[in-house]
Parts: sequence; C-alpha cells; structure tokens
Amino acid sequence: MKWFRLILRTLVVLFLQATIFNRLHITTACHPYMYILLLICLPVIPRWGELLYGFALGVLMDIMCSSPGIHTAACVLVAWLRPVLLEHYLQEAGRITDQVVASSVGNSVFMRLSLWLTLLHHLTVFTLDTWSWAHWYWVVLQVLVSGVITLGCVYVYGFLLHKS
Amino acid sequence: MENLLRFIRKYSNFLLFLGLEVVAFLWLFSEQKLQQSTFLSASNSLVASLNEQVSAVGEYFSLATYNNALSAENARLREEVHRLQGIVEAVAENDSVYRYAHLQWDYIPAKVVDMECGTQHNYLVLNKGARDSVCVGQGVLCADGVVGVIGAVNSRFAEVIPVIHPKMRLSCRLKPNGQTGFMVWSGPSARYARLTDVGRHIVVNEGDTVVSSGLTSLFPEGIPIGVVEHIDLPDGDTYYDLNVRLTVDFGKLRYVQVVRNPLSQEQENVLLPL
Repeated sequence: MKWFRLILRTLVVLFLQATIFNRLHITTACHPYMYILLLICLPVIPRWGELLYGFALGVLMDIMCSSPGIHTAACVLVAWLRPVLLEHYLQEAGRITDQVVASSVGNSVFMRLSLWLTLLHHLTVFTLDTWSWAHWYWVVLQVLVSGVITLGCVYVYGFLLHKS
Repeated sequence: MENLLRFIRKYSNFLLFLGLEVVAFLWLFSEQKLQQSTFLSASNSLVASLNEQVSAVGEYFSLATYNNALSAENARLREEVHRLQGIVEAVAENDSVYRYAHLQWDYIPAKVVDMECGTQHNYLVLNKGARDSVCVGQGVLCADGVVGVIGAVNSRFAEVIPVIHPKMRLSCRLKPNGQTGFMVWSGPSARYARLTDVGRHIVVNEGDTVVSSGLTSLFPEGIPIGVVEHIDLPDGDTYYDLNVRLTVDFGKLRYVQVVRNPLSQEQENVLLPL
C-alpha cells in the first residue's frame, strides 16, 4: 500500500509538472520544477532506495523535457544529500520520524530542508543546462525566479496538503 | 579480495551514487550532434497528447485574443493574395518558369502542443505528424517569421528544433544589401540571436531587417527572422558580430505552419558530391 501510494503520487505530480508547470512561461527565466517535492517529501527509506528513486525520477523528467541527463544528475545529487541534511536537522531539533512533512519534522526543519534542496537542485539543473559561466547572471536569475515558485509548491504540499 | 569486498560493502551507497552520476553525465556528454539532440519519444508523445487536451480547455479563455490576431493576419494575407494574383495573371501566360514556381511551396497549419524555451535545450512539439505529410527537415513558420526546422516526427506529432537552439545554423540575408550570413543562438535570451559571417566591408545599420536567404530548400526567400539591434565589430576581426532581435516571441507561440517543398529532393539531388 505504501509503495502503491508513492507510485500514484509520483504519477500525479509528474502529470502536473508536464501539463501545467512545464508550460508556465511567465518569463523565459521561469521554469519551476515542483516535481522535486517528491524527493524532498519522500519517506525515509534505505539510502540506495532513495538514490534509485531519484535516478528514476530524473530519467523520467529528462525524457519529458528532452534534456539529456540534466535532471538525472540533479536528482541523484539531491537524493544523496537529503539524508545527510535531514539527519543533521532532526538531531538539532531532537526529533525522530520517518515522514518528511512539516507536521512530522517540524516547520523550521521542513522549511530549511526544502530551501536548501530546492536551491541545490535548481542550481545544478540550470548550471548544467547553460554549461557556461559566461551567463552566470542568467543562471542566478533562473534559480531565483523558478526557485520561488517551486518552494511555494513544496510548502503548499508539505504544510497544507499532506497530513502525516 | 576480502578487503576489496569490505570496502565495497562499506561504501556501497557512495559507489552507487557515483555510478548513477556517471551514467547521467555520460548521457549529457553523448549529445553531440543535432540529430541526436532531439528525439520524439513515446513519453514526449504522451505529454504532447495530454497537453493537447489540457490546452483545449485553457484556450477558451484566450479565444478573443487569438481571433483578433487571426483576423488581422487574414486581412493582410487577403490583400497580399489580391496583389500577387494581379501580378501572376499578368505574367503567367507567357512565363514558362511560372509552371514550376507555383508548385514550390505549400503549408501545413499546426498547433504548438508542448514547448520548452529559455533553456539550452529548447524545442516545440506540433500536433501534426507523418500522417499529415510532415517530414524531418521541413521548415516551420508563423505569422511573425521563421520558427525552426522539424527535427523528429512520429505519426501524430512533430518536434521542432527552433531558431533558439545552440546547434541551429540558419542561412539568412540582410534585406537592405542582400548580404548573406548565418543566424546562430547561444543563449541566454530567447528574444535575441547573433548574425555571423557578415564581412566588415558591408554597410550594416541598426534596424536592418534579417530575412531567410532562400539558399536552402527549407524556407521561401524573404521570410522575416529578426531586426539588427546592436552592431559589434571586434578589433582585428574581419566579420561583424550582429545582435539580432528575433521577430518571433517563442513564449507566446501557438499556431505555426510547416513548410512543404515538393521540389526539395530535386533541389538537393542536383548538388553532386565532390
């Protein structure tokens, strides 16, 4: 049942990403990748499982966006660093939980975790996509504009929609 | 051997992480050629199909804007047809070239059902495919000018490599003096590209129009591409570096036309390999 819910959630979020957020051309710098909430809010599972889930998620996004390997590289990096950050923040807050939503890990932990992982993901995606530091200002602009919308979606999901 | 196994067991997660990153970067670096940079996968088709359904709902809210734009374009085209009809009728009777010239181009209307613009891997997906006679290598236009070239097709959809793709190199011409060059794009803005291969002995002014050259079988001659906005002539360089504002706003692109050239094969066959 747990796996069924995870697969269903993945399909729904990828559907929303493809049909709404990939078409959100408010400006050319706006590419909110809200699908990252799947990785941020993934329940605590063995680390190899997180890595493989991140890899599969990235491959699906790359196929959908015709972007070879960019989302895969970013998702695997996020999947690798998430347990490290999560463990650090949970130790700091003195909590033990296997659900990563605001009501379980605490508002502050959830906000900080989402912020850093979203920034890391977007910075990786836009840097690999631009592949040149000549346009660093464009990378920064894309990270900021897209990151704000992505974070909004992650917070809405983590705070309001998902009750652990 | 035992140490090796112990090492692998101890660092298995890190090795898995490295392995997956290597796979991702190999995929990224394997994209070298234009032909490889685009593929219309089953997933792309599924996304395009979903988008087609979703956009059908959304379009009800913007019908008035599209109708106004289409009405304006219809009126302009009607005027153009009347003007050209007069010219054609006057020369058709005695002009042997006309028999072939009027066969040269026809257009397949299509709608953009999926797109990415603003990244380095920009693309468009159209709702017309092989069953509508769309083929790889055909040009794509819209009311404002040149959009790109068909890069991949399946039976129902076609993927377009737009002008704003780093591997696109489009033959074009400066309208005032007829000088040819190549339009290239290296980002980041989707509204600007660069015109290269224009020698410094040519007189170029800001505001000059850039149009398709007609030297390839992709587009008719004289289709607008952009307007020269900034002229740069680096010291010691024999060519201008011209910053061109594109006429097409890719972010707002909805309706396009695929250019079919029934004589393209004949045109290309005449070029003998040397």
